[in-house]
Amino acid sequence: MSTILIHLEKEITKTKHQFLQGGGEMGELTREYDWANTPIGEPDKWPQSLRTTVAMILNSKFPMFLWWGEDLIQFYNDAYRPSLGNEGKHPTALGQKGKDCWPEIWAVIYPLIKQVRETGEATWSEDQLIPIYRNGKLEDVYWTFGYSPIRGETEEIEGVLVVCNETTEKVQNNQKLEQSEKRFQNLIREATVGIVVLTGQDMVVEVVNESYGKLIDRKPEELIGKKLFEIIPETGPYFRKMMEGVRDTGKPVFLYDHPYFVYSKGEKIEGYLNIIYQPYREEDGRTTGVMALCHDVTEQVLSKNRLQISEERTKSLVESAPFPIGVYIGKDMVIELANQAILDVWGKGNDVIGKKYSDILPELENQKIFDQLESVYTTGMPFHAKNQRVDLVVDNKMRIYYFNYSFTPLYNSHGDIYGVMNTAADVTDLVKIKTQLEKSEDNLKNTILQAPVAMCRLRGANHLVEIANIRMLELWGKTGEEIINKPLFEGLPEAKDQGFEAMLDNVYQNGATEIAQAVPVTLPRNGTLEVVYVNFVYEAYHEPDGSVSGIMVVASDVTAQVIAKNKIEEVVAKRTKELADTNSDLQRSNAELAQFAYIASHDLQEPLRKISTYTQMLENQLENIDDKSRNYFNKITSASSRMNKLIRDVLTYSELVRENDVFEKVDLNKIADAITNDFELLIEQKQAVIKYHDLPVIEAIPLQMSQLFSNMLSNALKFSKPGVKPVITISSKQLSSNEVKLIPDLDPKKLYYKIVFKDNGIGFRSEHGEQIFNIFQRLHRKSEYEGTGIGLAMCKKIAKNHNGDVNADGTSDKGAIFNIILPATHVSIKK
Amino acid sequence: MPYHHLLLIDDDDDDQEIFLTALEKVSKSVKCTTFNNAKEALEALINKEVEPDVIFLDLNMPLMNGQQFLMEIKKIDSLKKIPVIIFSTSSHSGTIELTKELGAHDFITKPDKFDDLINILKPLIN
Repeated sequence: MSTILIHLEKEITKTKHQFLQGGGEMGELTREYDWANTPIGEPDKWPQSLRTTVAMILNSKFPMFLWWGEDLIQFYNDAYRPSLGNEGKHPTALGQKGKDCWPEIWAVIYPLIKQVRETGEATWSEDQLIPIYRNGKLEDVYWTFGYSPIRGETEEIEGVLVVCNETTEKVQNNQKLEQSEKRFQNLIREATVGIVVLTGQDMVVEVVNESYGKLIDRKPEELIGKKLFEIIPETGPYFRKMMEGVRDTGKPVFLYDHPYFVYSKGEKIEGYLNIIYQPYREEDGRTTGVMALCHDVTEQVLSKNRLQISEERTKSLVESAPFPIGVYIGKDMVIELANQAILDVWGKGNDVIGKKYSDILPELENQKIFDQLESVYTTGMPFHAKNQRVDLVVDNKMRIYYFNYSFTPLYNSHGDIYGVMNTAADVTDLVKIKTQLEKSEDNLKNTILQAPVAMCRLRGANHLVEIANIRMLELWGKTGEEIINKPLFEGLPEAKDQGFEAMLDNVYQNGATEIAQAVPVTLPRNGTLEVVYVNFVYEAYHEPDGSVSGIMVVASDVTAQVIAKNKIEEVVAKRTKELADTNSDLQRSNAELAQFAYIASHDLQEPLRKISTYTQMLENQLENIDDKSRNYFNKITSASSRMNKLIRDVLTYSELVRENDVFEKVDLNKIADAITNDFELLIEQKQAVIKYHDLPVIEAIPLQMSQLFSNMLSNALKFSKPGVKPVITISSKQLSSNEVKLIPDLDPKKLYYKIVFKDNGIGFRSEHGEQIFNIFQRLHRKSEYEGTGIGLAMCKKIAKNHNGDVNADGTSDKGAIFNIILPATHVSIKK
Repeated sequence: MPYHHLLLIDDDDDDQEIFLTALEKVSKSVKCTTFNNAKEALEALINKEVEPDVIFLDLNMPLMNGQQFLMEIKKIDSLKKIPVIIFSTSSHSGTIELTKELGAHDFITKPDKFDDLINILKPLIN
């Protein structure tokens, strides 16, 4: 044994530790190391087992490490070297005591070392985490390693050989893979996007997450392994086809804002989805199913819809706004929006949208508008114009308008100007009114000066004469210098205290209007004061704001007219009095006449009666008288009888005037009945026929109606044709309003009846139609037809008493027609 | 009731004569006193110088007319019961009404014919 050792020592010395040949960097370091200062001493003295082991380590390409001896002195090879990293334990680990080298993991590895030394059993650890200090820091390092016992000459376990492989990279890769797998699972599980993978012809759910479950109100457990379209068959018709298409063609499909609905527990769930259908490929590239990614965009779609509605509302609001609104985009001012009001202003149609503002309104070229728009667009400074004149071509004609308008810049979300909004208000009318107002002030002054009546305008509370025309100055009796620009009563003191101050103050203070006609006023005329008569109007002069700033006075001198009028009134009054006197005289004389007729006829009756009576007494006295004498007596009797009748008729006629009888309802049929009855004897004697029916009931004086019918009938019977049986008809008819109008004295508003007495007697010549109604008028000799000539006059009087009329229509030998017109109601009776 | 003592007041002598002549033809026994002045007649009646059982009164008379006489006599108790028959030329209805209202017993219009007067008086006397 010792011989061999000596031999080896010699060899080592000779070759500098021959057994440590090779081994790269670690071989070199091991050879150079000062082993003498270590517990294991010079390599020459090492036991054979150590030598052999170290030689094996150094020459192995497999990472190896060795702890030797009680102190666990360390050896390692080049293959192991990288595991120590840079700026770490290399190269100090060589020859170092294990305990000193690995303080950070000693607690982990020492038990293993101890175990191997004590039991002699090798260990095997795979992908064990053994963090070590290297590369300037403590690193997690994974190892697959085995600890093997190395026995010495004494069969005692002298060292522990570590054959190891750093698997950090592999482990980390695995970890990453796992993590990524895990993440993927999590991703799927926790994804807010609904994910489902369907495989096979039956579309069986292979993978599904909560989010997908939520979309269809199911739990993933309910879905896994099931045929999806058996669970939600209602989606089949559309979505299944779509997915089969993806599965069969291998082409993905994208759906956006797509509506869907499912039924769950009897309720309909609906919403909108963004869906991606991806073919699901196996590792070998076969498409076996479809993966669906469903993103619930219901809220977004709804809010988009709401936004759209609100946008549409806004648009419609703008569209229907009563004032013009336009939006122009870009430097070219392309019209994006123009509401009806602005189109109306432009006189254009909807086709302006999308066109350039300058193309649509070329007439604005020299009106600075384009410059204003450009300035707003480039500077972002809004532009406002007031009462700005703008000439626009509307209906092919250049017209003048006035606008208040604004150009406001429009900014996009980046804060850049992308357009200009134009709002406007058409104030043409207002401006025109203002212009007219100014014009009208001038016109007013001219009007005053040129007015054909006296006019002036007073200003302020003291009624300063601001302007007055010549006529007004003439009326005042003043010159312009005397009164213009002076308070009225200072310039015209003569007009003071005649009541005008109060009227003017009332107009000025209360905005009232004072109108006066033919007012007497004392004014200077040719150096003296004269009363003149004036018509005038004081009208408040209003400023545009409504306040009263003065008074317009319009006046005219009506002195001449007033004097003329007074004269006329005087004459009229005198004439009226005369007329009244005459009337009253006439009435008196009428009454006197009637009285006279009455008295006269009354007094005339007396001597007549006596003549008659005494004649009879004489006749009685003379017992025997001859025929001739008797004839004389008869003549006297006859004459006095006739005289008596005349007097009685005159009396009756005169009584018609005095009559104050009451109007009553009179049935003319009954009057006719009574009169025919009175004339019974005569009718029988003459074999006359009297016809009447349906005569009206009217308001009349009954006695006078009897008199009228009596006279008419007696007349008709009297003037019958000899040898002809009299036929007398009494008919009636309501007068039409036109017929009423033709008769002068009738009231066109009243209802009138025409009572017609028609006979077949001797008639009369038509020229006598008027005459026959005159009193005492006779057309025949007394011996032919007896009568007094009063009967028809009486009829006329009666008709007139009733506010009616009579007329006659006759032809000689052809009978007569008498028309009596009577009102249905008495005119003085008020209902 | 036939009358025995008549008083005729009429200013017209002719009418008095005609009346008396007619009366004589009707009755020889009847007494008739005549006045041509109503005022005198009234005095005579008041003084009971004459006591007729009927008075025939003309209306149209001077000094006191028939109506006035009628009113006066109706004021005197001893006289107001004597019937007064108006004997007038008038046949006017208004006049007739008025005298009836004043208390006249009857109204006779003086007839044109002598025979008619006889026929009127007959029933009053006999």
